[in-house]
Amino acid sequence: MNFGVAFGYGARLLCLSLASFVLVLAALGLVVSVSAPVWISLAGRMRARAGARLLLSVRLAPLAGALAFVASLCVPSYLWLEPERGEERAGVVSLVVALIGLGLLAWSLARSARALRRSARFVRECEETGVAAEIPGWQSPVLIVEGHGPVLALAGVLRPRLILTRRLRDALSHEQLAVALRHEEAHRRSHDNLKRFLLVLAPDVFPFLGGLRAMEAMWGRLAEWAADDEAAEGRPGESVRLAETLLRCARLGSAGSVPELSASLLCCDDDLAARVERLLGGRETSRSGIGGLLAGVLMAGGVAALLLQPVVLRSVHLALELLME
Amino acid sequence: MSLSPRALPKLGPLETKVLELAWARGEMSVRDAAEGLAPQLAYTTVMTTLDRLFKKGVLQRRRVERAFFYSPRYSRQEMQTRQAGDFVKGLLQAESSPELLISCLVDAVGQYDEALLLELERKVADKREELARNSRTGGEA
Repeated sequence: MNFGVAFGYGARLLCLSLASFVLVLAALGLVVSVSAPVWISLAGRMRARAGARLLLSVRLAPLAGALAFVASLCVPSYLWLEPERGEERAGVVSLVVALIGLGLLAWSLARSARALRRSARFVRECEETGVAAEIPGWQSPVLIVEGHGPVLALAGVLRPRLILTRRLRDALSHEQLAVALRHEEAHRRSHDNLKRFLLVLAPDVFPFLGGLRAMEAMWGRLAEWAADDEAAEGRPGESVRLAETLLRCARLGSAGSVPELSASLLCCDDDLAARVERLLGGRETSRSGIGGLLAGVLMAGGVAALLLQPVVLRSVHLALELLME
Repeated sequence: MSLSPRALPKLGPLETKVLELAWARGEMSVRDAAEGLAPQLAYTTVMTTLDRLFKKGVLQRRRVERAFFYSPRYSRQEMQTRQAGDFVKGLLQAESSPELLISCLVDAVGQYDEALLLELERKVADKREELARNSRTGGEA
């Protein structure tokens, strides 16, 4: 195969891959976005950690599905069935769709890179302005920083650092700080910052529908509730202590915040009230996630079995031929 | 010395140098500042810089006859504290939360309704009492 033929072959493959990626992403994204209220309701009735996992899986499904389609169907069917010296060229529609796919990928990667940079900058600035201190209950040095807000935050994706303002550290009792640290440890063990990164990475083709954003917001809530549950360790006394700690932090935040720069009041009130009520009420579980997990495994098995059929690859190739025209 | 609620302004290299000199010397005139800087700068340059720092709220000044005397408005410690606090809070406020990859115990930049806080605190206190009663009852049993 000479260079020209190889280049044309590769270019058509790239165009097809991008175009089919964006079409599958859009189709799955639309389905997930429209059905978001159902998933959110289902997740809300499950154990917090299981509900969070369900929402994360569903939210990432369009991206995963699109990538899987390209990797397991589009590329293999093209390589297997497309003649090397094919004369056909990509049609205008497929080119436009491919460009949209390229744009989506580029925007998604840029957004993710920006998020990583901002987070790294945050950690770096805290390292430069703060003091590393050993605190019982946390395995690595905690960064104590000056500041007016009640900041206790786990920052960073792969090797997260714990950031704590001096004012908050001094305001909490040993027991309150211990339960707060257990809350952050739960986030660390669950790799919640990495999950946040994946949510930023996954494109939303129909942002105006709001479904995927609503799922992300609910995931955030459930992740906090799950961390609360794990911090309380099933002990009513610790649940109450964590509720006290949250309220203590909220009081410090109210005292130090600048009104014109604050986030939505209603959002903060709702979240705080829901968490405290939940901790006091002892409501933790409803259903476990076993049913959802089983359904997922069965579905994945079914899909894998389907993909292995040669007739599927031929059908996919035919569809891609039509796309090219 | 109370801190201004406004965020601290960014300072250029020369402004930082002059501020460092002000911290070292306390109160100084334009001539004192010009003589204290190395390498020496033009009198008008130093005067302009001091005036800029005054307008940024970092220096305060008083007039003695026809000359101004400048002194720092905040101590070095206060500046560093405020800068760090502004940074942590500023970054949390400026970035949209999904794109800042952190997990916060509570929303550090939000405001909470006072009545709601009081109500929740009352509920927490009631729950504590209930747990204490149950513990006593369980002990007696």
